[in-house]
Amino acid sequence: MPAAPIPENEAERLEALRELLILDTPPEERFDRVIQFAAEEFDAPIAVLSLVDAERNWFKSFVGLDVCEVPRDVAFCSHAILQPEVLVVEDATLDPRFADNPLVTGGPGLRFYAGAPLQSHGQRIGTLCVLDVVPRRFDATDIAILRSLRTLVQDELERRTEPA
Amino acid sequence: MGALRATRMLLVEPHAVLRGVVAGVARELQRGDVQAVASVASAERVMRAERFDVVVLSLDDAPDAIGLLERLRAGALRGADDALVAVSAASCDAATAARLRGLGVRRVLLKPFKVRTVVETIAGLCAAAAAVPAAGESGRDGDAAAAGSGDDRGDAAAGSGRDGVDAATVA
Repeated sequence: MPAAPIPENEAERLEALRELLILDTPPEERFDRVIQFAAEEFDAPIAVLSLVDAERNWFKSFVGLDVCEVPRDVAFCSHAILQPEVLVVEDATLDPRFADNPLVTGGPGLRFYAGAPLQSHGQRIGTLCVLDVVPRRFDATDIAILRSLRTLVQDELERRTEPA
Repeated sequence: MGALRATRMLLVEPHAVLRGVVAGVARELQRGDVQAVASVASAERVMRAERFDVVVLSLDDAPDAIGLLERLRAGALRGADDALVAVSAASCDAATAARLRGLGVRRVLLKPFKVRTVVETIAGLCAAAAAVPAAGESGRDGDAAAAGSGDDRGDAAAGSGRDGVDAATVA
C-alpha cells in the first residue's frame, strides 16, 4: 500500500495546524452540527472533520466511528490534502492507492471516500470528508455541497485565530 | 420570450448550516445572485431596499413569514410583487396550502429535505425568472406553466404529509 507522499511544505503545514491550538481539544457543537449535517445530507454512515498531524489523522468531530484518530499512513485524508480540489474515491477496491489499505480490506471495510481539503493560513491542514462501506457516485452537485460545508468549517476555524 | 437575464435570489432560512450551504451551493453553481438572511425581519429590511426575482422563504416563523408574503404581493416591498416564491415548512395542511396558493407560491419544500432538492428548486425558479421579459414587455403570468414544468413534477399534493414525499407542488 503506497503511503501518501509528505507534502513539500510539511513544516509550514504543521505550523499552520498547530497555530490553531485545536489538536486534542474536546468536541465543539459548532463543528459537530456541520458534520452531522454532512452525514444526513449524503446519507453517509461516516462523516469526519479530520486534521492531518505529523504521524496521525486526528478527528475533531465525527459521526459513525469509534476511534478519534488513525495512523497517517493509512488515512485517506493524507492523500486528500495533497490537492486543492475535492478527492473522490468512488470504489477504493479499484484504486491502487487504497485497494490494499487495511481500512478497506479489514474493518470498517471502507469503499467510498469524498474529502474536501481544509485550509488555514494557506495550508491544507485536514479535510471535511464523508465515507461509506459501499461504492457510491458523487456528482457535481454533491461536490458543490461538500465544498460549501467545508467553507462553513473553515469560517469557524478562522474564528479560532481571530484575537479575542 | 425575452433574452435571459441575471436573477437575484433571496434565501430566508433561520437554520445557520442549511442557510450557509444552500447559499454557497447556489453561488457555486451560479444559480443566481444570492443573498441569505436568517429572519423574516431581516428579509423585510432587505426587500424594502432591493428587488428579488426569486424568494425561498422558511415558514418556521409562519405568521410573520406569511405576513411578509402578503406585503410582497400587495406591492408594499420594493418592486418585487411578482417574485417567484418557494417556501419551506415542517408541515403544510390543506388550509395553509390554499393560502400559499393564493399568494402565488410555486412550491412547498417539506422539512427535512436535502440541499440538492432546494438547489434544484432554485434552479427551476431562476430559469423561469431569467426567461421573463424585462418589466413592461409582458407580465409573468404567461411563464407560470414553464416554471412549473421545469421543476414541479406534479407528483405530490400540498398537505399530503411527509410519507415518502419531500416536496409538494401548490401552483
